Amino acid sequence: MTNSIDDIAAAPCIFAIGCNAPEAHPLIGWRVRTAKDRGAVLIVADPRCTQLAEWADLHLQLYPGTDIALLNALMHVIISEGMHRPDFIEQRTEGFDQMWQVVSNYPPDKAAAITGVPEQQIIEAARMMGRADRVCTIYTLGITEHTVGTHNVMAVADLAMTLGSVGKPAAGVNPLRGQNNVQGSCDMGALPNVFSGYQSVTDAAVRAKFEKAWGAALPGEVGLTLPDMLIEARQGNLKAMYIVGEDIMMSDPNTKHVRQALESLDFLVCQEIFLSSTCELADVVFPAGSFAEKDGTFTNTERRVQLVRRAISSPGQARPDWQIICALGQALGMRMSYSHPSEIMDEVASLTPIYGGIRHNRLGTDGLQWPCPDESHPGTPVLHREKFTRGLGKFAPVEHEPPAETPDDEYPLMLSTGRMLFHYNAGTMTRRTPILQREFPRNFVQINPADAERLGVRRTGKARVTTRRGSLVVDAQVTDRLKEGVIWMPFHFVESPANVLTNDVFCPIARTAEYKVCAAKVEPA
Amino acid sequence: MGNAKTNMPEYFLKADDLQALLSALMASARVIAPVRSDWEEVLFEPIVNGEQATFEYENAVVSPKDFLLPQTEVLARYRRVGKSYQVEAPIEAPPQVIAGIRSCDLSAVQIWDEAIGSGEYPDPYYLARRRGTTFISIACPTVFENHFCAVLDTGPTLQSGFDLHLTAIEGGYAAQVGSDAGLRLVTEQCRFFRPSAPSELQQREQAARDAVAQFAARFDIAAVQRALSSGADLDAIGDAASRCQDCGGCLFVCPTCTCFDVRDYPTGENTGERLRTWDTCAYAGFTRMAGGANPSASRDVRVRRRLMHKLVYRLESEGLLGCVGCGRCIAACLGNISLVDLLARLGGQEKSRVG
Repeated sequence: MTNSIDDIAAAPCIFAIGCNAPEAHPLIGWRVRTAKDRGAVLIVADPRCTQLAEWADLHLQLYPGTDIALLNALMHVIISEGMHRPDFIEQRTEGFDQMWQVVSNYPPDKAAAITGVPEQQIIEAARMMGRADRVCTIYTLGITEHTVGTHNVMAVADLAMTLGSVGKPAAGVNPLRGQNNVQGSCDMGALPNVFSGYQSVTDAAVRAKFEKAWGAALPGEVGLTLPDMLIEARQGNLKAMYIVGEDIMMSDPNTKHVRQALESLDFLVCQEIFLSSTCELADVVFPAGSFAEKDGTFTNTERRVQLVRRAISSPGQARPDWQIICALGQALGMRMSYSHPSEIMDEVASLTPIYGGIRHNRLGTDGLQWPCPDESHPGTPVLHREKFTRGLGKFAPVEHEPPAETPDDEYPLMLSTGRMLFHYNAGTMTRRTPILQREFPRNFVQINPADAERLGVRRTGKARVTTRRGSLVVDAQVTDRLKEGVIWMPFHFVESPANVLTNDVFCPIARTAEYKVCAAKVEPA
Repeated sequence: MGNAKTNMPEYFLKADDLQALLSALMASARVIAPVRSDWEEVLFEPIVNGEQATFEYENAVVSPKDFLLPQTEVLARYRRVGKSYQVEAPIEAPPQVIAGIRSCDLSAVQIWDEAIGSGEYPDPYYLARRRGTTFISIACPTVFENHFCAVLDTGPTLQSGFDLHLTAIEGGYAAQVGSDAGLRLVTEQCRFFRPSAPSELQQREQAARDAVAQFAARFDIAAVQRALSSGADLDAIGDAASRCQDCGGCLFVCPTCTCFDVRDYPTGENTGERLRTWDTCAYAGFTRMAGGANPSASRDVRVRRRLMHKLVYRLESEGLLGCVGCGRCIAACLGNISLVDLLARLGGQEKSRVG
């Protein structure tokens, strides 16, 4: 997030796109509700009529995979009607004219035809944003989990800059991260191209710094992303994987492809708190301690590094992840001896400028938001206040491109997938919690009443959902919360995992898979 | 607690002696008291030293319900032996003192006594713990945010229902004895107590009057009950339902809720435990039938049922309202549903300022 979570509650206008905060981020849903109760204008763009959409002043119910057409049309109206912010654009950005050359081709009537959102609603949404003092944009995986995911994010950023809504409180471009520490994992360099703090592995000076600190030679080439690893494994080029806290048999698209990749490996090591579907394919499983069993820090979606303290001891042979990793490093001949995670944090600070001032003893009850370059720095609630990281914000115009699969005669529906309140991701924890399990014990597919009637799917019946990759029989949930032609499923259920259906194509830039749209057919079952 | 005694004696306890009293009580019982955490939150916890306890607090994040009706509790352990099962049902109920409990939370205990501690099938697990528990309650000096106990006669102070009830007065506390257990406590710990002077009685009564006076408005509970019972569509219910995000937080923090779920968990190949855990009617699955049909699938129905249970059904079955006005559900709500505003609207007032 460029801004902080509490900024959302103070925003005069919130634009939420591809984001179902009350279910996927309830505490952020609360901030949106609070903003609304304080008089904020709320605009929601989502293919489903979620609870957030019910709260909205205007719900733009677009077809999955048409975000760029919508975003470009919003900018089209804002600029054509003179509601953009010339001062901000002049002083803080570059490339506005080039952006307009692309965006000018997206008048709202054209976008209406692509997105399925009525032209008048697009115009009204643009005017609501243009009239607001500032706009706080929040988005989630509905934006990123597309073959055009990176382009979607660029279009969101273009819109925010057009509105002059970056670098100030109660505004900004705010991706909501879905896990307690996914931000921290990225910050710590659990990415193929960077060390901690987004320092490039191809930069010789950076590499030399880490080599000196760790007393080891480090490779200077960018590594593989997860989808690339699976492709390389299937081709026999990748021989071994060490998977920590991720159940990719559940969470990655096209389960058949994932299984073939993992079965092609010579050696698979998993580190997990429960024996997951992925662990079942492993040669070695390290039992890890849960969040409640370790000291350390989590970095949340607003870049806040927060202290975690052990509440209970680990069962059986389970150990905190850092101890397992250090033991493994020692066994491989690497000196990794720390007596406490605070010593690891000291090392992080010494090598990572954005974490330079972060020490366990400074985190107290509220933590610190990076960038925090030195020990007297109070942390950074709002990014890009004076200038952007690259200096001027660069408008990056993007064209609408359809998803990799669009409906055809054989697969006439669009399947989108996502999350729900009562289960968390692969269900490793929540499917083991009886009352949560009772709430949603089985997978289901949401389908519009007109589609259900045409296909003969009954309200309390079962439906078979089939894509080019697989087929599942699940409960039918007939609901007018979806448009005709669109169906939706959650992916939390190991016994009927939605990812046997999803398409393992991905964004060529970010390598994030297109979970949010593929072609499907439905039959009564 | 239990039998409210009339003409029970009153004592004075020096402010400095309260923590020492708790330390002394530890010789014969587990002592549970409000403790301020590193995060500035106050929670009831078993203490090992009286100095851990704080009495300068508004209210604990949750009531001490966990110590009488644990969030998770083993009802039985079973072992398969050949073709049969050996079952043991241990009831762990060490003597305990719950100190620093506010009037509203102690009023909730009276509701549990009626709902699950009496009648044809009293809950033996609850009863065993209840009988081993002595309550030292404390009156609220003022009205705290979201609290509306004065409207429901569950606070800010109490007339009965306590073992020992403290009211802050100059230099210490007026300590009212409310039961034989309370009298026993004072007798055994007599070095901390002396009989109250008449001026101290007056101070206590004045403190109670001052606290009540701070509750500004009242809403008409009878009108709320009529509106709810009418079965009519009510805008206030619809508005609350649109805000509800199904988290169940309002009822997990509610001191009066008693609903639970029972499940068997294997602990080994031939052994297992039967666990009871808190449950909440805010969840759609609470009343879903095996075939999928659900009489309370919509949030409107669930919000109304929550209010009906607390304000109408409890009164009919137990003779007590099922809400004690602690305001925790208001603080917990991610949809900003205010029970105070909701009751005011249902009672015919657009907005009520309570406190």
